Amino acid sequence: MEETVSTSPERKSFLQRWLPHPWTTVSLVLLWLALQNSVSNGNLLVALLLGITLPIYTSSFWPQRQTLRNPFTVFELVVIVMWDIGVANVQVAWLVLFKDPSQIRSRWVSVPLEIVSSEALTALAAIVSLTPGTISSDFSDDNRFLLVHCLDLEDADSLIDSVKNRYEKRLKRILI
Amino acid sequence: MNSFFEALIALHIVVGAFFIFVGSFGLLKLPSFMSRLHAPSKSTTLGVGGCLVASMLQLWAAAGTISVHETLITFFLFMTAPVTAHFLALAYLHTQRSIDESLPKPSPNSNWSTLLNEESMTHSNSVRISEKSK
Amino acid sequence: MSIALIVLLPLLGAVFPALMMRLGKNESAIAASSVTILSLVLLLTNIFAISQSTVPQASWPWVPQIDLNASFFVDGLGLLFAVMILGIGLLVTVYARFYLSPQEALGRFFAYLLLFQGAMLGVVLSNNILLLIVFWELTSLSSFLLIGFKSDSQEGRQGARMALAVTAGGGLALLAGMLLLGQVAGSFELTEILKEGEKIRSSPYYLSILALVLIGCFTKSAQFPFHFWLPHAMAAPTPVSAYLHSATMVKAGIFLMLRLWPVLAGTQTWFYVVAGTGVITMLIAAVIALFRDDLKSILAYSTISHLGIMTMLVGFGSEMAVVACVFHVINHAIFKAALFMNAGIVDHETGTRDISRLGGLASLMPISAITATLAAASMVGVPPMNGFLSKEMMLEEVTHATAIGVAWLLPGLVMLASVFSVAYSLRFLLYTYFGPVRNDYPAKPHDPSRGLWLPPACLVVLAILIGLFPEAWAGSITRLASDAALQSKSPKFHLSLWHGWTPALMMSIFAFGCGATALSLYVPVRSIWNKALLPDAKGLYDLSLNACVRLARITTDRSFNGSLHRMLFLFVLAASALGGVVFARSSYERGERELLPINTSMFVGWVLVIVACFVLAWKHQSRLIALLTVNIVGLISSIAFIYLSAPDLALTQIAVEVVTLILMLLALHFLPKEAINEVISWRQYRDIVLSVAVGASVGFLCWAMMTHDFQSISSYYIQHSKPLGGGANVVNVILVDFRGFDTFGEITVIGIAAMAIYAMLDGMLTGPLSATLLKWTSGLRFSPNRHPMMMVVVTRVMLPLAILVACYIFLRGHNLPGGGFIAALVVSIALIMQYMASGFAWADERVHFDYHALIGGGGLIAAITGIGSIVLGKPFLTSGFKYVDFPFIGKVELASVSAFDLGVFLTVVGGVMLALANLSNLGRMTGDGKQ
Repeated sequence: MEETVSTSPERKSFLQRWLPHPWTTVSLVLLWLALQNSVSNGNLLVALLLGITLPIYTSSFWPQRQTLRNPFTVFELVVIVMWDIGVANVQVAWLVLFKDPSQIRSRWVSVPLEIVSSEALTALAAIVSLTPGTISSDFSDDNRFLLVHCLDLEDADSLIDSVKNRYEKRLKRILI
Repeated sequence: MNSFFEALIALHIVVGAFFIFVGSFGLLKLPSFMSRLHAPSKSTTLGVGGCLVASMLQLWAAAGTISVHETLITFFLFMTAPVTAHFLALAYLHTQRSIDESLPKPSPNSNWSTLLNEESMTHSNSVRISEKSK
Repeated sequence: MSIALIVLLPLLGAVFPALMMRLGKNESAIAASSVTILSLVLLLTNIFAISQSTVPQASWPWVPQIDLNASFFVDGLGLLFAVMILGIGLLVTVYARFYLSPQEALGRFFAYLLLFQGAMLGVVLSNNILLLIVFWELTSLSSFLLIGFKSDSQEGRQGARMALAVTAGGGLALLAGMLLLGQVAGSFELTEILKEGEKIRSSPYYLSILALVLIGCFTKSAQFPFHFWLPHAMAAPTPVSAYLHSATMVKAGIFLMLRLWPVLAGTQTWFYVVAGTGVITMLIAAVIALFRDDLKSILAYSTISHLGIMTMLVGFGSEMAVVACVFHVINHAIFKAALFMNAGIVDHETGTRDISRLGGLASLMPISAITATLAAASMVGVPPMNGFLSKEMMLEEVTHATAIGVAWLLPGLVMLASVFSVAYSLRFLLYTYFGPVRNDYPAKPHDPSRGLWLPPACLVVLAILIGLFPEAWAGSITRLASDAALQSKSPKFHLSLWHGWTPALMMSIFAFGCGATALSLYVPVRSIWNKALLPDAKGLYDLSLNACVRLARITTDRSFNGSLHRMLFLFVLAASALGGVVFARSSYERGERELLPINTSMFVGWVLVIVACFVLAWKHQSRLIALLTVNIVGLISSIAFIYLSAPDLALTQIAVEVVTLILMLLALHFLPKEAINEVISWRQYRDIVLSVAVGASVGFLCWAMMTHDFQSISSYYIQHSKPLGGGANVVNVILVDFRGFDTFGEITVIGIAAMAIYAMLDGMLTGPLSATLLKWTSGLRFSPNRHPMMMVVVTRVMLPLAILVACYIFLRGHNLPGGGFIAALVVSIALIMQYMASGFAWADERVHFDYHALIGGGGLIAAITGIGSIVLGKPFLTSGFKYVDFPFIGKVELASVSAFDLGVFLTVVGGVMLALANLSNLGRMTGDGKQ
């Protein structure tokens, strides 16, 4: 993750200055309403106020301005991940309960990556970890490979294939 | 609250509890550190998820209100659980660096960030900033 | 009002000379003297009323619960002393302006002087005896500052310390005496107490009161055996000696004895203790004064001797003796202040105060010589000076007094003292000003500027006037003061220079002759004196002081030698021993409440806590395991809180647990990873026994508590939190409203603790330790992957979400679990994650606020909220709330406690972040973790 402190006095555009992370704003508003568990004028006002001010205040901690390019793919991805979590959970449960430990073929797999932004990389790593049976353990120093530990795996290529096609492909459409 | 809801809620709790049990059992049964790491990180997802859904259902059936706090709990768990697992794995790699023979190398001219040698430490992952003393 | 102002003006005005010092010395002196003059004018406006036998009073309640009122009154006695304090104060101000060298901080000096002046006025004008004590100790404090004014001289510091220890210590005895006196009299107002003479004298506490009050008076007025501090206080600049040590502060003891004369005097005990002490002091001090070489030291002992005279007169218990005492107070103040100023002039002009290096100054400094001669004549009691009159009165009274049935005992002792008095006075005068002119003075002597000689000259003129026309110049004030001291009409007397050939006059003439003879034999007498082995009061004082210090040091070293282990052991032992004693002396009955059945989840938690504690005790050498097991206990407690329906506490507990864990991890980094493996010794068995005993007793205590029905305060809070505090969350309402003052104190403590951690860690990095620390390595292998990307990204994404959640917790705190404290911990954790994930410097650059300012700002906001309620006429931190209907938004509760909670929030964020950030900075700067 290459980073330098942005000391260069680049001129920020109006939106960059006042709405540095529009999607954070959206999620903050949603989070506030969810926390209050009700939608009222007052709540909405406070939610908008916080949703706009907090990202501005914390933008120095998150310098890159990230926008979701294809918001609807997010839902697609969420559904796929949820499904995978469910399926994989059952698989792992079977594995844990009934398989002889000596027969479990744990192994490391190195998955080559195409996405570059750290947000996308993190999201991918998180998804891989969330689906049972795989844990994203490390990145290579140039962030072009993800080290995945698999609980029980026969064919490394199929795993690489599913990570790339099911998750990375869609992530690429959302984040750069 | 009718019996249908009761059954539904019970089902969710049982399913959740089952997966939590599997997680704990796996922790006990699986042979190596890395494979054991799989077990508890699963219980947080489906097991806790099941219990939370049960909680939502219960509140809905009993009070008629939809509570979305449980989804928030799930959401925050999903955000943090992978990081925990990642850290544990990193710590494992750091402490066990030479033992694991099966570890693949990412590419001829790079290595896993945790396993970089001191001399090849090009600060690719460390934040480079001018020292600012406070 | 004007009476209180007399006292308050100098106290408040003390800042002016210090401020005016920027303009110059004259301006500063003018500021100081204007304050004094203003106060004097205010005082004099009361003369008419007092001469009409009324007593102007002013009173406000201050702390009515302990009968401490700010009440003042001026009667004749107070008037006399106040005039002396202000009048001589004015002269001393002028004198000091010219006396102090340009390098000395004149503004500071005047500030102290005014402070002292106000305190002294408070002593003589207070009506409330507790208020009097406050001022009494204030005079001790301000005199400490004045004596130690030359803080670079060791003598000054020592003298100041000694004066403070003796007079303030005596003040404590006086406080006890006054409390008893007030209890017995049934009032703490002097005007009331003075009417209760009979009751007090016949009370069984009379002797205790007398002893305690007299200790206070004797220490202040330098009576034997407490006289030793006064000569050492001569290290003060001479204006201070002229003011405090002749005219005012040392007279405070005399004043108090005069003041309480109507209630305490008249018994045999009073006579023997007071008159006896007075006569002994008078004699001893007069003898010592003869053998001193330092001019100021001679005057100091002479002062002690004269204070002895006054004490003796008060002790006689006859009304005429009181009149004589009052008159001598006036005369002594006048001539002794003049003499001190004169000694200062000699010191100033010749560069020495050593009498053996002086002599023959009369022709070189004629004006000073004349004033000195007249003042000294007054001191010896040569007509027509004022000192002659009061001395005659004193001798007259002495001839009437009989001690232990021997008529000649007292007159004999006083005669002896008078002989020495004459001798030292003559020596002071003759050895300084007369005799051959010398040519080895350290400086070339000549008369000083007008500013220096005018003040003593004024006093000398006054001394002559009183001597020549006593009735006109001092008659009425003496009468007024005596009336007030006696609380009745004083006996008829007429002050005049010539009384005829009385026995007193004979005694005077005889003493004069003997004194002159004694001085002519000075050289052989001195050599005998020098050879004599005499007890040294200062030596004894030092010995006892050192013994106290040694005792304190031994106690501290034995109990708190730096070993945390020992401190804990002693603390726990003491606590359990106290509890054991109380338990053994009480009757215990088993409680009536039924025990509740234990359920599975509680049982599991219980087992977990016990197992964790055992693991902790067993594995404590491994600090990481110790830390983790402690955390298990913390988490189980928070679960227990939830189980017992205390979500607030649970939230707080979890948040605190996380912060503590991070803090401890950062701190543990600097400790050895494994503690030293101790050999099991008897000490560990001892500790095991103690901890088992303590654990068992705490368990028993809980069991005993919970099996008994008891009335707790919680039902009150639960009932009133919504109607009175406007919040449904009782815990929060208690914290920010019912017990807001506690919380205010607590956030102050948090702020101070954080500052202390900051100071300590910062000191480690910049101080002498830094070299060692910067070279230190932990010996651990660090991963090159310092900032794992997932962690970095997730913490950054989470930051706004966490702050939002904190806002939510903060805002809902008034009605639901939450509040400023928990919100602050959440924000702190979110921020510290930035430090951990992205590195200290990176994060520190992006935090836009200063943690110190946060702590201060938080405290300020909380304080302003509290003060706001005072402005609105309610007690500190009274809360207010109101439901306001906003258009579009709806009904919103506006509560003042939210502002207070904001203060809590800011202070806690500031405090936690300051500590954590500095600890992580330490980790960054040191060892192989260096970035």
